[in-house]
Amino acid sequence: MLTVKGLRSAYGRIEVLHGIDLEVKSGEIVTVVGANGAGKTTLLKCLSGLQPVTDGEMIFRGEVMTTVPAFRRLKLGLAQSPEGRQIFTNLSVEENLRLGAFLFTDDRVERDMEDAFVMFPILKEKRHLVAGGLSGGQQQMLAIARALMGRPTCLLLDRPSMGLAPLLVAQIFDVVKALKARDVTVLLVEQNAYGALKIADRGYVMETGRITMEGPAAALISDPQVREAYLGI
Amino acid sequence: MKFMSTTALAMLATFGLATAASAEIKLGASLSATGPAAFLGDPEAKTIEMLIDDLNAKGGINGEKIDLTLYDDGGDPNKARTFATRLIEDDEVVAIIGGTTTGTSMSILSVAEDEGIPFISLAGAIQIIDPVKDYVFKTPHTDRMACEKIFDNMKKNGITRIGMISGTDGFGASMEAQCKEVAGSYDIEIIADEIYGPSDADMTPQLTKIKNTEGVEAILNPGFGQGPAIVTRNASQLGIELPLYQSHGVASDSFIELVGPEASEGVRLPGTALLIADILPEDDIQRDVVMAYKTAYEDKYDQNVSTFGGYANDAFLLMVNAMEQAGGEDPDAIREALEATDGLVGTTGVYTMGPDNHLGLDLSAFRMLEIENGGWKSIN
Amino acid sequence: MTAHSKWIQIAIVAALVAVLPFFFPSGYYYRVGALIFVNALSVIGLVILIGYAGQISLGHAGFAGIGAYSCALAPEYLGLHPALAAVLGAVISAGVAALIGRPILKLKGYYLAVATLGFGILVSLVLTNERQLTGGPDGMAVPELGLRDLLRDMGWRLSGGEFWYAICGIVLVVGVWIALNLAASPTGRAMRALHGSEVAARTVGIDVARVKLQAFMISAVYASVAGSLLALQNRFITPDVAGFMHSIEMVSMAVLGGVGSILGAMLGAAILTLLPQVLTVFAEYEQLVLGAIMISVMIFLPRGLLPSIAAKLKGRDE
Ligand SMILES: Nc1ncnc2c1ncn2[C@@H]1O[C@H](COP(=O)(O)OP(=O)(O)OP(=O)(O)O)[C@@H](O)[C@H]1O
Ligand SMILES: [Mg+2]
Repeated sequence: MLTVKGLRSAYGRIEVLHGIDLEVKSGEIVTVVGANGAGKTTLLKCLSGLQPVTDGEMIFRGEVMTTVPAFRRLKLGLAQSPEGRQIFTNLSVEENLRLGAFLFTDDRVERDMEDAFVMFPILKEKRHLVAGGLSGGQQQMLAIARALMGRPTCLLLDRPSMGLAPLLVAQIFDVVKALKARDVTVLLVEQNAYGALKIADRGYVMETGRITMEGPAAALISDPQVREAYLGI
Repeated sequence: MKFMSTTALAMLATFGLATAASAEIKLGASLSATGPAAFLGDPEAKTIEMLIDDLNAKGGINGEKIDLTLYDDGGDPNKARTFATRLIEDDEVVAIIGGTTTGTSMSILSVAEDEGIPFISLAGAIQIIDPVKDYVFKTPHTDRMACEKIFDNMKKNGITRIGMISGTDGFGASMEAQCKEVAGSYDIEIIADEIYGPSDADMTPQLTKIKNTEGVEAILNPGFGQGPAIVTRNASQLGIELPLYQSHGVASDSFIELVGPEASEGVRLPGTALLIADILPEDDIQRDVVMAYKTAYEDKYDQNVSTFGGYANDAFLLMVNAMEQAGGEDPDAIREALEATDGLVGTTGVYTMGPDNHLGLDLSAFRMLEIENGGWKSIN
Repeated sequence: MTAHSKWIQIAIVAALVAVLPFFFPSGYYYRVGALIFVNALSVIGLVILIGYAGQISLGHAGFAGIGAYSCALAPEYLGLHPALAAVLGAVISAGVAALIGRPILKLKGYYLAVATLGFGILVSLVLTNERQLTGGPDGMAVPELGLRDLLRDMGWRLSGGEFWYAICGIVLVVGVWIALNLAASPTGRAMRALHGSEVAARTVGIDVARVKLQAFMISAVYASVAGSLLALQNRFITPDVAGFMHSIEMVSMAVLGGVGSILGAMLGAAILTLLPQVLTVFAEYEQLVLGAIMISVMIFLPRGLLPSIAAKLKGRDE
């Protein structure tokens, strides 16, 4: 579904991605784990078009994406839930969800919203409140729900567990896992390697702009190197 | 039908400041006492206030005092229109003096015309009274008249071919256009034509070009503010011997101070009697009026009189005269009386109005002046 | 915003416009009312640009100038009816906004402020310098709209003040209605979204550049229509209408009332239009008082009068 070949990207003159190769197949949950500043967010920003690419290729469902502007990629089925939630704090919960479906005007928008409320009942309760007033966990749910309103075939999730209490982290990972049942392919970026690898099919380990390891999630989770470096065991 | 809720009352009370007093003639004024045109509007406002006080101290008009409502429109035409509306609708004045600038005057005049309230403008532009509007009059001579006066003087001196150097400021550009329109009828040919911007600090190149143009007999400089002073100084530095004509826009003592007595020697310009009050001959028809205004103003404000204050003085004289003639405060009667003004002597000139002339000045309103030893000399 | 609150707001504005004249002791108040409505209209445009879309403009008087001078120039040189000239002005303003908006809306913050400022100054310079066409700083006359005479012939006599009060009031209500509908529409939501977070706006498929441009164009049309109304009722126009001070005045009104709220913007317009009228007695201190009020509001009620007061009334639970 999504293929990345030799992807390079830089902030000004400082290159932070030094040729990334990565593959996500339809229906998979794939995770990219790595430490602070490894370049995970930069990778996702390249995929969603928020960050210019200096070299390499991204192919999504057979189409070369490299030059497609950000706001068009969603239409092609590639949605991103950006790092740090980035919800519209000054708008209501419902308006946030409607903005997720900005590209669509059909009846399915209402149905999708009802779906979102089933998945996250708390959002239904707060639907008319300003999104900035939600708790961190609720905001993260809103960010995911909003991304789903865009009817993605592939969802890019950037550190959904960031800054959440352990109980909420588990809840969020459950939600991500449940996406599989809805035929949404997921590329999940995390620092919480254990949680991510547990729900993922396959995983990549990223270090300072390079992929250093890859394989089935179960294999990585039991890999001594990974265990030492990322799982703290 | 007035439903006055308490809140509305409170709101309205804040700006319904006019108090009703009977047996007073209500006169309105909207002047640019602050803002970019304050150098015009400030002496105008001071003049009107002074004259009203004097008149009321003497018992007013036919025993009725004048109640002046004066607003400062800051030179903003939009504000001027609002104040004109307020003067007429709220303060219920019977006549308006004002409009320091062309823009504010044009804004006020359409209200005055709509409501049938006589209005005397203090601004220069000819479009204020041309075409003639029933209720609109003005006191300052027009730029065109200044041009005519200058060309008339040139003609008398046998000058036919001139160079022009004009400021691109509002005044300069407007006068430049007027002068070019009337030059032909005085057989004046403009054979060199230069301009400078409002913030230019050196006009030597333009003057050199004029100097080097074959056959130029005199230089004319329509302009306002710093520009003409720089032109005059540069001309002196370049050793240009040709007669230099400045405009009424710089007809004030401060121009001589700015240029210096040496460089300004011999500069000619059209000015009003007010500027040469001290040297007016005993038998000059304007002498008494000019001296009366000058003395009163300078005593009261400890400040030199200006031509602009003179415009206000004349507007006031015209208005008072008309009110006396009209014998009351009926706007239409005042308008009739204004239009019938005949030989009223002001500081700017002698006014004789008519149905097709709402300015009432002719070229004799201007005095041709020459600077001599740092002072003014009449060369009529 | 719920549909409910939208209709309440429109009803409030319409009711105010209709009821206020019953409290007017003289014709002058119609003039002040009409001025408030005109100013409110251009400020609503700024609410759309600043409040919804989060983009600043210090040059919006430029569009007011285009609208105003269209009403003076188009009838004279193209023989257009003044009402059509106002429409033409709005179209030109939208076109100019589209043209200049494309490059300058890429800028942010101070840079955008300075670029728009430059645009406003440019317009007022052109109006001042093209004196053959515009009469220069002395200004030019604007033809009569003619509608009042038409009404009189139909037996409906209105004074100039009453007529313009009614016209400006009606246009304002329409302007409020459009702005509130816009706010609730997907485009309006997109504007408010990019105000919150441009990154997130992109990720939900919003063409940020386009939506900004739409906000800029719509607000330009508001300013242009306001400028036209001003020109048509004043019957005379000078380049001041496009001047820097006018731009600043508009932004001050928006900020004073509360830049995110339509009703707040109208309150700001009303206060800053009324104050100079109230302060005529202290004309010399007018600027001082205005400045002091602006500073106090910025310090004590940073979100603007109406939103801050509304929040206080609701309590601090938000
Ligand atoms: N806007 C930026 N300008 C310059 N350098 C940046 C910028 N954003 C990130 N970087 C640098 O790029 C590198 C990769 O950053 P990135 O945000 O992609 O890391 P990350 O893997 O997402 O980290 P984290 O796990 O903390 O979110 C870091 O060295 C960072 O300092
Ligand atoms: Mg990151």
